[in-house]
Amino acid sequence: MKKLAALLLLTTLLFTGCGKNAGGASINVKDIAEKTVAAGGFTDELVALTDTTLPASYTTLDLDKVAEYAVHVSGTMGTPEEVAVIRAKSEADLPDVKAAVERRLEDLKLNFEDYRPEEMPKIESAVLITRGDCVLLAVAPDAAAAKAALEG
Amino acid sequence: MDSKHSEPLGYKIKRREIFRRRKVWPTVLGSVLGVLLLGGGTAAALLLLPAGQGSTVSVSANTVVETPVPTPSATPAPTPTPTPKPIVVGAAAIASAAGSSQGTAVEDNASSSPSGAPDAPAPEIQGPGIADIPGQVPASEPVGENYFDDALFVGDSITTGIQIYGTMANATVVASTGINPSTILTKPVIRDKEGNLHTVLESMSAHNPTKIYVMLGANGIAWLDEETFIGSYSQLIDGIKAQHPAAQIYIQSIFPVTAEKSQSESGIYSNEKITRYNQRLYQLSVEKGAAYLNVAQAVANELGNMPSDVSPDGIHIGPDYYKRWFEYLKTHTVSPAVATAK
Repeated sequence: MKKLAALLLLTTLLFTGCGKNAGGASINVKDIAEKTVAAGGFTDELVALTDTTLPASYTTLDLDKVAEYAVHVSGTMGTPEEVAVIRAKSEADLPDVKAAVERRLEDLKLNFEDYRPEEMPKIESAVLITRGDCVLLAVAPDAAAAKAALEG
Repeated sequence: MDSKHSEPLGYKIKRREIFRRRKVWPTVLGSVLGVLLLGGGTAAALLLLPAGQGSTVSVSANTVVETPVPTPSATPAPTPTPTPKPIVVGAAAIASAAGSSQGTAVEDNASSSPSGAPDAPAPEIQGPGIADIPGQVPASEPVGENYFDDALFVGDSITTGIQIYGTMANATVVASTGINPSTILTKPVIRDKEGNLHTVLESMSAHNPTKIYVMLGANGIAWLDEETFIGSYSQLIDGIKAQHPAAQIYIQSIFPVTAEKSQSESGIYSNEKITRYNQRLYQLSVEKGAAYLNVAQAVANELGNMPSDVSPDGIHIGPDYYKRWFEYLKTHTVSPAVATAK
């Protein structure tokens, strides 16, 4: 009976709020970012960025094209560890948002390749995916776990 | 800051799990009724779903829909927040919440990350673990935050933290992680909004500051011998002076590292070495007519080390110590008349 109830609940959920999951519309940006922070095996303290502090790290990201975001970066600035979940305002804005996140990843490579080469494996195994209208990035010690968290 | 923001992430997740357990059965019953009303087709459709359309995703997402978590900073506001408040989460914060033996500073970060918040009391500046250098900028009457409206901070990863923590949002920061006194002259690392890369000096040319604070060294002392370090630093100061001849230049001392870091890696980061390089920086400031700020005094303990519980990697500092650093800067300024004279 319990299994049947759970199955019915799952069915209901799938056909109501998550119908657009493949499109990313039902992703809770903050929640998935926090779950990834919890799962990624991070060695650093991560700091959540705000409208004021985000542009310094994501220099080419146009906030006018962003509906919402949760971005956590290294609190010590001594590692490239990072989680970003950014929802584009529209489908048309998605390529630019993705390009800005890719540019951020390039910058992390630029910053750490000579400075702390031992951190480069985290960048080289970074997870960058798109789910619907969201772009998700994790630069994590445990890339597989971070990927699983980002993919839900 | 919303207290929920400063709450360690581990607590949040645990709380949500409990909530989920308590609320699941009423939801199940409601769902059963809903399915019955909708017809039997949905159950059949579920069985036809291809593998990989993860039930975990769906349950997780829908749970959030039922119990939305407030996201005050998630949606960009029309006007930027003037005093950003850092939210510290992650491994150390979770460890602290779990009763880890991490030092109190880590606990402070986790439980009072509003350490950068304007309503938090300013931490007292410790000392005198780092001795005074005759000629360093002496203590002065505190200035307000608007003193930094036309200030520009140049440096490496430590300086980038001013932006990450929003320590002084009105100040301009031109800094890059990994830069050192040598690469700062040549390596294009500052990306503009159009995506182009510039050297630090090129990027500085876009600004018109009256005060320029330079801090470099944490990345340089390990790889650059003293003469190369000072030679490159000297070129940088010359370049800044040529670019901004009327600006007051402050050369800031290199922060000490933790005792553990000081003794590691054959002493390439040792505090003895840092003290030696800082003495050279003071001499450089005299040669260049710049002001020398002994900011190491703001972060050192009574032994002259960075306290080990405030620096996860032994070099970098957290938000509490950014506040400490800026309290020092506010109380160690040179007068505009002096600045003009130089």
